[in-house]
Amino acid sequence: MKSSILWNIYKPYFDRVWSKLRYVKIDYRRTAAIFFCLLLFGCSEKIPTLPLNKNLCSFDSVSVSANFIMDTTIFAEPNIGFNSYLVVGTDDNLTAYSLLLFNTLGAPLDTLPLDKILSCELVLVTGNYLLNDTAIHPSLEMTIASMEGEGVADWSEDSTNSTNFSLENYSLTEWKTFTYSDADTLVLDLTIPFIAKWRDTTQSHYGIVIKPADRSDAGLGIIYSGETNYYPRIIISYKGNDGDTITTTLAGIEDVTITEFKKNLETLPQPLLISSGKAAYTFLKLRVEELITDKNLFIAGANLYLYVNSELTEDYGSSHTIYITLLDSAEWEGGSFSPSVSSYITSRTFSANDSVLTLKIPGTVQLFTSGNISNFGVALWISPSGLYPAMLGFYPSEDSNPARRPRMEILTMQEE
Amino acid sequence: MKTSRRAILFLLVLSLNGWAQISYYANYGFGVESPANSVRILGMGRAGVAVRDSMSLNQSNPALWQGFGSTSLQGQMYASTLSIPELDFKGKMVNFSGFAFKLPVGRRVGLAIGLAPLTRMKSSVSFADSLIFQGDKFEYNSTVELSGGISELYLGTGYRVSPNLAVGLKAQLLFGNYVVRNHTEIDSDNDLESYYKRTIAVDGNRITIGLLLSDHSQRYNLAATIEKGNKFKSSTFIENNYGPDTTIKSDPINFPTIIKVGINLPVTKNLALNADMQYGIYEADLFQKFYIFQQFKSDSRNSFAVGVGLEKSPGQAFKNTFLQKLYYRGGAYYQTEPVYLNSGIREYGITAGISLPFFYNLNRMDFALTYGLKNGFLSDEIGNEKILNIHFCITTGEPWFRKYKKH
Repeated sequence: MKSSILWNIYKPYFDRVWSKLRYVKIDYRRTAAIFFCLLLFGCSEKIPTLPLNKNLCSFDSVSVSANFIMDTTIFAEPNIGFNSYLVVGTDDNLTAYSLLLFNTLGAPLDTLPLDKILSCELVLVTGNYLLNDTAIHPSLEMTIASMEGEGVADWSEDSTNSTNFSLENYSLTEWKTFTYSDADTLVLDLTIPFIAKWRDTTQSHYGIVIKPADRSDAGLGIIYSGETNYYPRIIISYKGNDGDTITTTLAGIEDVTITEFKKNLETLPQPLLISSGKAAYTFLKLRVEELITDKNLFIAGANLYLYVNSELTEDYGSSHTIYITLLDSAEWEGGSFSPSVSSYITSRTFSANDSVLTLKIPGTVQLFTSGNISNFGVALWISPSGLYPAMLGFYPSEDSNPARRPRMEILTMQEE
Repeated sequence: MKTSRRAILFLLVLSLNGWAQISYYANYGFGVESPANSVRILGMGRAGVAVRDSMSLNQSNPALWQGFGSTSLQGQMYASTLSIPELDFKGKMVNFSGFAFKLPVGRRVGLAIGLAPLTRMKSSVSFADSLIFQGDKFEYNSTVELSGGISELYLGTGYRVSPNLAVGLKAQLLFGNYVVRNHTEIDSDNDLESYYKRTIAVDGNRITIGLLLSDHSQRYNLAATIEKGNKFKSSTFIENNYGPDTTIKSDPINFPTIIKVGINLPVTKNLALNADMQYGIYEADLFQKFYIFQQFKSDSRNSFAVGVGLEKSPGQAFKNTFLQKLYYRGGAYYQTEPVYLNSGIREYGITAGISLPFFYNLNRMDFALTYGLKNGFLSDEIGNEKILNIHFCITTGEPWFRKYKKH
């Protein structure tokens, strides 16, 4: 009844619309073409997605014990000459001193009478001293000495390090001892005789060394290196021929820090070490392909646990980025390694406040288990451009305490 | 003429809601059976194994492949929508559904070749959950997409033994691929994505034998076909995140045997009644051995289908109007599918169709509209599926290779 009432009400309107349609002239061919186009292209494809209550994949966990982990520490020559910092000081971890080489004295300074030289100042810009376990700010004192000698090879910031350099080969002339202050610009008067010594052609000159003074507290101070805009420089003032005061700045051309680590780092079993100042790299071979033989198994998670050796570890209160790089056969077998920040596969930030270093490396493990690459292990290293006095130590797989040995937990996923 | 405008307007409106053969049940077995029949048959409740067609090829029975009036090429496509009110889902898709070429060889023999889809699978499933690993929460979301199907390339011939008897033979080369793509996203400290692709290639062959019995004037027809699979096998290729797996698994499959019987009865001069019955014989553990995705293993049962249709052909008047030139047909069908999981899958529906011959009755356009309701073991989760299909076929022919009597 209701529908018939509605129909009667709207019928005149329907009739009116339909009568108009009847007089619309239709081109059948064109209409048919439009129809086909609409039929073919007018449909956006949408397929049903059924949410299942059954899992589409299964997970399983695999434990990799220390028996399946081979490890060693590789020591190389540190290459920290391009670092932004020079470190000077001594603590329980190391003794560090820095070498600086400046441009030679040019005319007229090379022949200018000494009485016309008004001043000679070494300008150093300092950073914040490196924190260690001592909460008290130490009183750091440093000594500046010039390095002379005969027949000693030149040093270079690109190749000189603690393994091929010794201050004992040089004749040192101490010019000034000063007190280090944090985040400061230190202007140090080197006295006129320093210039005279520099101009003495009877012996070879090898720049200056800034070393910890004998009476200094333990601690490490930081000086910005020549790689930064706060580079060390010598400013010399003298009187010109017309009586005017002229100032000349000599910039440093080479600088490098020599770090001598104090602790015995090569014991048995060999602790796992990571340090750029020592150039120590940890090599690990995770023999996961022996435990996970299905190469199609997806590695959903892989946590590698390395337990921190707190006796060896000194991070100076900073966190460090540990890089992981795949090794090739020559590197693993030959024990040689050249880290490059352009070739690492993953990285992890680490702070020594943690008692354990957890490296999450599912992608790396997948590479090994899938057979996509041959497993020659990985190298763990920190960048030489970082805080190089730091030493990170971990217990090896042959440690006497099984609880401290490296281990790995893997989560696998099987689809279907 | 006015009515024809209305018909075209109706079709235009209809085309705005185009669809394809999709279903949540497509994940199971070989997928959803694709309507490989000619569009004329589809409009008659899918009944037509005994229906002669001299203009367009009736693919369902090779015994009908004789007495062709023309050499012709035909192509078919269909579009359909799946709507599920309970899920508020509406999906659309368009598919090509094959082509056929036929030619007469004398008065008693005909040849036909064609390509047609048999089954189609296109759907996806998803699953999301989380787990705790070493104190970290791993949330993961898996999506599996399934697509593919089996198609056939057929070549056959029909031979009219006598005015009352015709036989036919169709050889079918079956081939196809199913592709499973499993993609899992893991949201943790290291966001990871897993990729898994499995391709199942199937191939084999099948033979169909057809029989047609007619009265002397060839108005009453009784027909039967039997399709028997032979040497059907599937091969699996796996491709993971890190390159292809060399493992290739090959399994033989017992492809089902399909028996059809049908009848074509004239009711009046221009009106005919058609009825078909189909019975599919499936191995009980077929879909336990052959499945596209492990979650969609199922049992199998013999399938059954029945269809009834009426067709009104145009009169022979010299000057027919546009609408008088059309064939009109309608029907209804009921069918069960071989997939069985606690219960089976049933579909029933109604059909309608028209055909428009043009250019001296050597060419024809066929349209069919089917509306079906499907329910089965997923009904508790998704409700009933409403499937609306529109089929289109165009046949273009020439009077080649046909011998005419000299008087």
